[in-house]
Amino acid sequence: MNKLVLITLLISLTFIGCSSDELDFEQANAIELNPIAKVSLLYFKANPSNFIDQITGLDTPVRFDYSNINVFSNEISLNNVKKVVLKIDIENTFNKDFNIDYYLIDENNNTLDVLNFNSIANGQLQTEYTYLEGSVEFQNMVNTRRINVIVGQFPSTAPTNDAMLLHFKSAVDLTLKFGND
Amino acid sequence: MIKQYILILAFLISVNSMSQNKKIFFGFADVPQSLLINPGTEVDAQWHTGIPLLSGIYGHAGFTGFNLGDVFLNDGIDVNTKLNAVLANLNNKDFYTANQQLEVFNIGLRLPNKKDYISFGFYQEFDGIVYHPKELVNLAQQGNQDFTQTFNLNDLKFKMELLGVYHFGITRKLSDKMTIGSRAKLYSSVYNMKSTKNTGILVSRLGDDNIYNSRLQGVDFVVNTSGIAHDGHSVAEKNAKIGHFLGSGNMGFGLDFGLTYHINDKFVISGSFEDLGFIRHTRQTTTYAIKGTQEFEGLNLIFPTTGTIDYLNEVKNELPLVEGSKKYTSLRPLKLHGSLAYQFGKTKDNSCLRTNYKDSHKNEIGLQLYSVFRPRRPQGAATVYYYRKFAKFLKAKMTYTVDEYSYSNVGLGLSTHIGMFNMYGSVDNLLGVSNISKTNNQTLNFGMNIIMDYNTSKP
Repeated sequence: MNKLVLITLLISLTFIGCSSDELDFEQANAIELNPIAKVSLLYFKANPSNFIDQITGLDTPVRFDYSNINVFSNEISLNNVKKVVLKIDIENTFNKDFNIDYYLIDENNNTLDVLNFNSIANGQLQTEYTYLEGSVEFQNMVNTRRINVIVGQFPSTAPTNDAMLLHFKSAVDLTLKFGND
Repeated sequence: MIKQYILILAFLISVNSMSQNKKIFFGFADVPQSLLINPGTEVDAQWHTGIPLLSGIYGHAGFTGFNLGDVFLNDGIDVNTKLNAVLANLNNKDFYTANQQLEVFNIGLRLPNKKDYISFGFYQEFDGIVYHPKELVNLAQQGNQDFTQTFNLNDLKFKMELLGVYHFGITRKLSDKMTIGSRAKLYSSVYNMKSTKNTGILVSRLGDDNIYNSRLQGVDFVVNTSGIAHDGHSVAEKNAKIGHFLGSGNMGFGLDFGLTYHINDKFVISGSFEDLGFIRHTRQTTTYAIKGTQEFEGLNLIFPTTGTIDYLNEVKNELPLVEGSKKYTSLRPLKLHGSLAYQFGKTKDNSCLRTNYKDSHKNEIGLQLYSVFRPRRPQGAATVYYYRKFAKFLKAKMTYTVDEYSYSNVGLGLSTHIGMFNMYGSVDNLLGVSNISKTNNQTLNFGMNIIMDYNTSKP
């Protein structure tokens, strides 16, 4: 019986670890990551021939195109995006002006917002729009599933050549937040 | 979610019950489970049977490169500052690992020729290792905002498996000096996931056509899975597939071998290998692969005169991503053990009925070497130990181990015998148990057996 007591004691001793109050695992609640994802969106390069209707052969004052986007259509971007910076970069080497309308469309084909770039003259235009979580503009951005682009050229009699270019670029910087909810 | 993962990890690391290093029971002939480490161990029993589900409970979890206290010490410093400092010091050779085994049954029997001891049983095992994907963690921390950085997919290496193992071994005493043993294993994989040979980089730079250019360059990335996590199975179906422990169709074969040799009355060498084997995954397999080079600068509108173009879908189709089902083979992590021991201090118990050469000594000191083959490189450990037989009912082994986790790992193993009842367990990393903040690995091992040895059976 004494043996049993001794053995039980020895075994029990090895079970007893020392607790440590130096560690505070509650700090895990404060852990957060704030990566920034830089993602290109739509772009186009239009030269004079892009404004010629391939069927009629006539110069077309307005061109339209669109694309679906999936930047905001997954759970991460829906729940973890805290800030969106939309970047637009336009370079015009034509000797005439253009209008570009950038439509943000939701999944039900409703227009959420329109960015108008009017009278874009020969030269370069760089613009940034910063949308913070909680604003209407931010919500419009993250609800965007499609972007429509309408390009309109101003009437002009100035001569054109194939080297002329209207180069439109767009991208977003997404500031994400994980943890510390 | 982060907290849940951390608490689970902390629990595994700070398990304060019988924590031990399995290496402690290498050569510990008083415990039949030592045959699972070295089938050439000089067992001294007529027969044994493990208490079902309680004969062998083993768990190990650990990581390298930092201690729990480096992140969670209650020192008033912002946890993110501490975490960033820890992550900055880790490299892609650091790893997180866990291994768990639960013996369902284990039976042994000495054959009438007295020389051979057969042992067989079944246990469940989980084994996993994830190497710290240094550059991909940087990507998760900072995103792709730093255009001077590249992110190497070679950093991503992981392997995890859940399986059942049937085993049958035979230990033969060739002479008073030499004992050898071998064990055959039949593996039934329940779940397997591995991704171990990836190449290629992710790059983000300023673009030409659009503002940013993101590129997958020279990528060859593959993840293989098989078993119950296969897509398309409901939870109920997965539960039903627990029977896969017994026979999943993803089967494999392995071999253990070991020997013990007495150079003379004082010196003994022993060595073994475990799990020289493989599993062939042919059922419920899923393969995710990305191969090639792909650039993305956005969606290029071309303003078609007629019709529309699904630009997004075109880009998706260009992605070199392949999902399919492919048979594959996984190797089990091969373990190597070796030891040199010096025995001294004669015991009074020198019965001629004893078959165990070693039992004539009361003390043993020795050096053990251990290595396990992992996807990036083998992990090793060196242990010096002192074994002592305090009484017939109590044997102990004290170890000091240098390994990838620590240079100050002290362990203690105990085995008790009361009549036919045997209980064993051990504590490894004793210093870590007493100071959890300095801990980065811990193990648990415990078991109970019924053993009929020669002393017990002696009339």
